[in-house]
Amino acid sequence: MPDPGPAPRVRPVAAALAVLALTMSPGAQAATLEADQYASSEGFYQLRWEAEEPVRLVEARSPGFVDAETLYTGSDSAHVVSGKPDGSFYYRLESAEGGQVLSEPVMVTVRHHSLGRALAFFAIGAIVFVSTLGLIAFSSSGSDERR
Amino acid sequence: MNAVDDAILDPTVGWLVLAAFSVIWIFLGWFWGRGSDQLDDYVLAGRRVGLALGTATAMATWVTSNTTMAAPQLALQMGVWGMFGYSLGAVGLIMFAPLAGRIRRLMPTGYTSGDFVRLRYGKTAWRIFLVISLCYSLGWLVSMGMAGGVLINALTGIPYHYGMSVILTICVGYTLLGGFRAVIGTDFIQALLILVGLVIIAVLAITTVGIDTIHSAVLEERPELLNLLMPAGIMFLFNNLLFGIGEIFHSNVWWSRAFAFRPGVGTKAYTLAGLLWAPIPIVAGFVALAVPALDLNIPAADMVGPMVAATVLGTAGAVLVLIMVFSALSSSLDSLLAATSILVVEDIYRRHIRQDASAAHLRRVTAWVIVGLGVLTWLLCAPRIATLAELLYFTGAFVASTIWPIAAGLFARRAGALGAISGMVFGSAAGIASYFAIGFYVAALVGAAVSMACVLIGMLLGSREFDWGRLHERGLVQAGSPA
Amino acid sequence: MTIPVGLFTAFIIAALAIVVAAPLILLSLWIADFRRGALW
Repeated sequence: MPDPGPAPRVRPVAAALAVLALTMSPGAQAATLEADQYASSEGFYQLRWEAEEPVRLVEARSPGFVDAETLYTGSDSAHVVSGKPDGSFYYRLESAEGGQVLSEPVMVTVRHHSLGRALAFFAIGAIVFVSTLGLIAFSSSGSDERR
Repeated sequence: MNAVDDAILDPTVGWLVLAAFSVIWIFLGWFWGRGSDQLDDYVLAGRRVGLALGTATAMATWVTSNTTMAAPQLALQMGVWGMFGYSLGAVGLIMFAPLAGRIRRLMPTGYTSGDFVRLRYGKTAWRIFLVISLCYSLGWLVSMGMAGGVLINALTGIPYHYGMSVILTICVGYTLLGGFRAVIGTDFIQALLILVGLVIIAVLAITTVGIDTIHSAVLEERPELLNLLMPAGIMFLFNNLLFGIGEIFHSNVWWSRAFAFRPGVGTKAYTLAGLLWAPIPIVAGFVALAVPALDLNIPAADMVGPMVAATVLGTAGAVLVLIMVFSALSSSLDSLLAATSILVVEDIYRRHIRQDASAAHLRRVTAWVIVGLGVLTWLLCAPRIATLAELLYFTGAFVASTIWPIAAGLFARRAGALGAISGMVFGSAAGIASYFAIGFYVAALVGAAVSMACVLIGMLLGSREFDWGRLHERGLVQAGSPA
Repeated sequence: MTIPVGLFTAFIIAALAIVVAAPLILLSLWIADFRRGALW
């Protein structure tokens, strides 16, 4: 049976921005945070980072991080987000101890496929499946074997 | 990739488990291989396999590392429709049941799916089919080899190249020694190990955490996973069903079993195997949904299965997962090695190179091809290029484009070569295009639909009716079997 | 449309029941084949 999704790829834009941020404000960005995709139509993506200390990964619905929630605290270097509804989500790394901001914010926008499109594919799939069933069940091969 | 600090098990424990099972499988391979001197014994277990072993081998072979690893991954990514959609892969097995019976009746001396396509549609269709089939087989082999290395590394810390090499060597070893009988015999044991292991993990997850808690935790943290109207999930359903049908209908892994089962067994074995396989991705996937309730961090989606098992069961859980995954990998790898080697020997070596080869000669060549395939797989796994595993996602469009050429070829006299060829070519192309335009979860569906249209048009426009008697070729002369 | 917890539970339990029954079914088939000499 097949594996489900493509392997994550590094986004050159994100990497460039991270480098830029580091050179422009020395000392403020001690960690780089990136996502494997910034626009998702399925509501799942992976956040990856490099940091020298244990981090707290937070998520917010607005760029000001007013209502931020903690997703993870520890020394792993990645986290899978999934099951997100439509919307824009903001992420950043803070230090696990002091709450000091460690990374540039990252924004991921989720926009699920339209239900109409989903149902259209469902219908096509159903038609192919039922036709195949019909072919096998009702073929006129019964009388053809002579041996 | 492993972004977790430590592996879950001690490497020594890992080596012990691997060594113990390796010894068992190799011994059984040698034991069951005694007396497999004839070609039909070696490659098709004498064409007399019974219902119990037949059912178990079909079920176990379809449980790959993907079932135990990707089903949880899909549940974590796509939720309930991910789990259920994955279990629709059982439909392929069940639908193959009537095909298995028909194949056995129409081609009692046949060896491969390639034989069928050649006799049914002619050389051009045959060669296109062989390209698809061999690319798929190699892709599957490589994905299994890589999965073995990655999993063993993640669970035990044993380096990727060691784990990958051990798995490939063991499977090549006992397949080589024992042929198809070793494959089928070990599959039975591996089936039991997979099922029992899964029950233990699932029951413990339920009693430790509780289904209610799991449900409410997911609803709070990852709500779309429980959404029955999640669009990507809905698109995934029939795509996965058709991908599964395509994989099974065309691949010699399943055709070789149809030829190996005793008459009358195929239909029952495949139906029962499908029914027994169907709940496995659901139970395995469900385990992944415990993540929010367990407050577990998942760094990479493909690690969710083992991580939850280890959290729930500790070291014992990790050992259990190692045994289960090792069994799942072995039961698929041995079948792949055996079936692909027959395909290469029959459709490439015998039909293209040495038409007059004797059965005894082919038996010897088969052994070499098994080794060769093992080496080739190892070489492709060694650089650990992630994109090689992605090959398998692409194959969705290709294999799904063979569904109607195969099914119509077996059941409809009016299906012709032009319909089959255009079905495979245009179906594959359309599927690949949709893979990039929309996503991996529609490629097989589009491939199957376009292919079906081509075959149907061919049937409407064509007028020739195929004579089923042309599928019955004269068999190879061997000691102890009817010609 | 969230799947109700009752349906979710029934679904999981049903699947688990089949997985529990499966090894028993396979073993009893094996015994039956073995007795008739029809294993392979």
